[in-house]
Amino acid sequence: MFASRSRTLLAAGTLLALFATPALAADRCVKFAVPERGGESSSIDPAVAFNQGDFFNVGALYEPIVWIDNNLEAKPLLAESWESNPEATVWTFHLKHGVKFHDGTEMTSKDVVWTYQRILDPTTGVAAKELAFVKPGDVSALDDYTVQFHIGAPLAEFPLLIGNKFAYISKAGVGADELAKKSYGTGAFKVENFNPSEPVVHFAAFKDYWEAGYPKAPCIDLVSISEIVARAAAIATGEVDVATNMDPSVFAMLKSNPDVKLIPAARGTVLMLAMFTDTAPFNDVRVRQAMKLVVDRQAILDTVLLGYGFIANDNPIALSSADAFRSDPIPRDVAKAKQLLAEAGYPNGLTIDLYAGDVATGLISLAQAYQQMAAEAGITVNVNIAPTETYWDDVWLKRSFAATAWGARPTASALSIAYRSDAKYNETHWKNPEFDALLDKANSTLDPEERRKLYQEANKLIAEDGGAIGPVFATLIAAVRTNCDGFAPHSDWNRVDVKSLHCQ
Amino acid sequence: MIAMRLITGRLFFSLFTLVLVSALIFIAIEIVPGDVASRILGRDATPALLASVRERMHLDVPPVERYFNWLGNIAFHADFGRALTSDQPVGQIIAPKVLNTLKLAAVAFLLYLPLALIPAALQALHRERPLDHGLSVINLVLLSIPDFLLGTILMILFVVNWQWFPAIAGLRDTASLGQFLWAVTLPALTLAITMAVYASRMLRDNLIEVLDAEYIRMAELKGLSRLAVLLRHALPNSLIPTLNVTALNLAYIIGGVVIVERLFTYPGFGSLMIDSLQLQDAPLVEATVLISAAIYIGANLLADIGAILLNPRLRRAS
Repeated sequence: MFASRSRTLLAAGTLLALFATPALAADRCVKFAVPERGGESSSIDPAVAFNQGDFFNVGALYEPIVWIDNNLEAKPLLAESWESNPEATVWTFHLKHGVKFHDGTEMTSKDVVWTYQRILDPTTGVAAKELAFVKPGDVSALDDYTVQFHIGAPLAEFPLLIGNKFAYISKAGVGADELAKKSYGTGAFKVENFNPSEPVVHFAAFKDYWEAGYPKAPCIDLVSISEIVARAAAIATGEVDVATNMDPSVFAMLKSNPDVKLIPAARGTVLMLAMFTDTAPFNDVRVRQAMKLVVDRQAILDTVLLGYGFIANDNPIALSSADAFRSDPIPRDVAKAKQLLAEAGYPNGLTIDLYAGDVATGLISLAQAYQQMAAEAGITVNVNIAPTETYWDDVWLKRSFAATAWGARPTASALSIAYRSDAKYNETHWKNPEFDALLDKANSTLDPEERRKLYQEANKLIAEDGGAIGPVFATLIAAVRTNCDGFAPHSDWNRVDVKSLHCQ
Repeated sequence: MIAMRLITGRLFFSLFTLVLVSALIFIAIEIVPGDVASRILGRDATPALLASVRERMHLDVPPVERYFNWLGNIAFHADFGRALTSDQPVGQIIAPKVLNTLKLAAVAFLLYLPLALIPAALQALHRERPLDHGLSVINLVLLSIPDFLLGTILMILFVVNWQWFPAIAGLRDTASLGQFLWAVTLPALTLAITMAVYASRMLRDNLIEVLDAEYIRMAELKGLSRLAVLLRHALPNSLIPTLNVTALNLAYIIGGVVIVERLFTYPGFGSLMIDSLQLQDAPLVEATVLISAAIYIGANLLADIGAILLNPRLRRAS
């Protein structure tokens, strides 16, 4: 009797506490730490976003018409729906009604047309290059809430591609000078007065945001902490509530902390070693296959990334994606590798130079781990570490065997950006007409199942014939205080969604 | 007169070194592959786009012409040009950062004095005894730890384990003096320890030498207490060589702040230097390096002048 009464009391107390807690501890300003803000050159203009701080700014202040979600699929955002003609050359987007810009005016099709025309101008920024399949004249407004794109060639994945990381809608008529000082977007947060040299950027909740109940946090203070140790220390002590870009060097320190949770992104950056397929010895497909067979994928995931990532099968598509050509890791086979090398005319093994730079987490360790694994098959790899600052300019695309990394992208863009014969970033010098034909066919195939099969074949070709050794995906990992909720790092590091984030 | 001539010589030589350094910086920036245009455009640079950005930033003017324009503007107008990435006057960007670094350096210097003097005095008074040996070991250990590691260790101990100090030293301008001191303690301590270990070793040896001198024995025989002997007679005389080290330590701070400010996220001159190097923002890099060189050369010059003035032989000749 007594016991049951005390239990009731206890339960009542718990209930009371449950109700009381939210009322007492109102959601407060969230402190968010990113590694780099670029100091004086940082910007809140979506068209010139460059580093992680910039993309945070853009993600909090602006919205695109199509959002790319964590599984890299197109989801409606400022556009409610869209459709195309059967040839996939005319795309019509229907905009949401009643969306307000930060200055209180309504967002309509003229703002969307203006934004695309602005970013498609090559003097504005680099978006024009990424959106090369649209010309400024291809965009038009049918009425206040309908925007149409007439593009030259069929493109079944158009909605995914038009949701590019630079294609964030800003108010028509507002130029670069004003966009650099104040936000003119529809995002859940706004910035009234942006000063790049301030150590903290204050984002205030936008009261007239179109989605009721959002944003969850009243405000966000953004700080930049470049050093990983300092970033980890700040999250460990609660000086900041969220810190992005944690890497293996601080996992041990944070894992044991009960107040911090480590949250990985759903997809990751593929770490690769790219061989020029037109340069000896890599011009022999048997050598390329041998170089891939020596890789122990699981060991690389466990040692290089301490398990924080996913296995990759020598192509940029995640194994968990429906576009992947196989869902299990390609096994290691040193004997087969030796045999292939002997057939290719290297019975005594070979010696090659590999270049790596600290341009992505784990890239140098990957090169070193690969060196050890390749040695067992008689391949002597000399690892050359090149300076980080000039790596993309001087090493990448210039050395015949170099480490590289690609952020998570939707299949269509992941396959075309570096593997098409005419790709500007063809880092493996791989030219395969069969592969190009598969991509062309996929572009004009509107049926998703059909398209999926074509992508799977294309992926298989990259893995079996191409010049990229891709053992793992490194996931972006954010450290979040346990009293915070509603945030996970996006699969693509250029995207940030903070409207659900809040802390108690 | 000899001293005067020596000092004028030093001054002239320092100025010459500074001009030489300015040329070297400029050449180095020219040689470094990739310019700010390609850095801004990144992987997406096309020759046409590069050309238009370069033109906008006047990178298409011949280097020699650009060098003399630049040097002339600094020498006659104190104008370092405009930063390429943000298009702000370099002077305006640098000034608040230099002020921040001066504040940090001032706190570091305040911590440096007791950290150098107290162990040295204790060691000299307890010469060849356990206390002396113990402090020597600590000193040697600290001497062999590079500043970035020392800073990291301090951060793990005082921030993560004990939570006495914050991890981020950079604060808004509205922070109070107390908040500021609390936030900069760790970076200042890192700088102070790194500087103090050298000075302390030197000061200990000098003190021991002076304590053996006859006038010290005289003072002791007069019946003065050990502390009075130390403070009034030994210390002033053993400080002279240490002043030299201190001047050089001032020069060290310029390098030290680069690492310490970065580690503790302090928005000072050192952080700016790293940012500008990473962005390859040529005018900003040139200005920051030139200012560091000027401080380094200036500190050495002060040390030299100090040595000349304190050298009795040179003094007597004049």
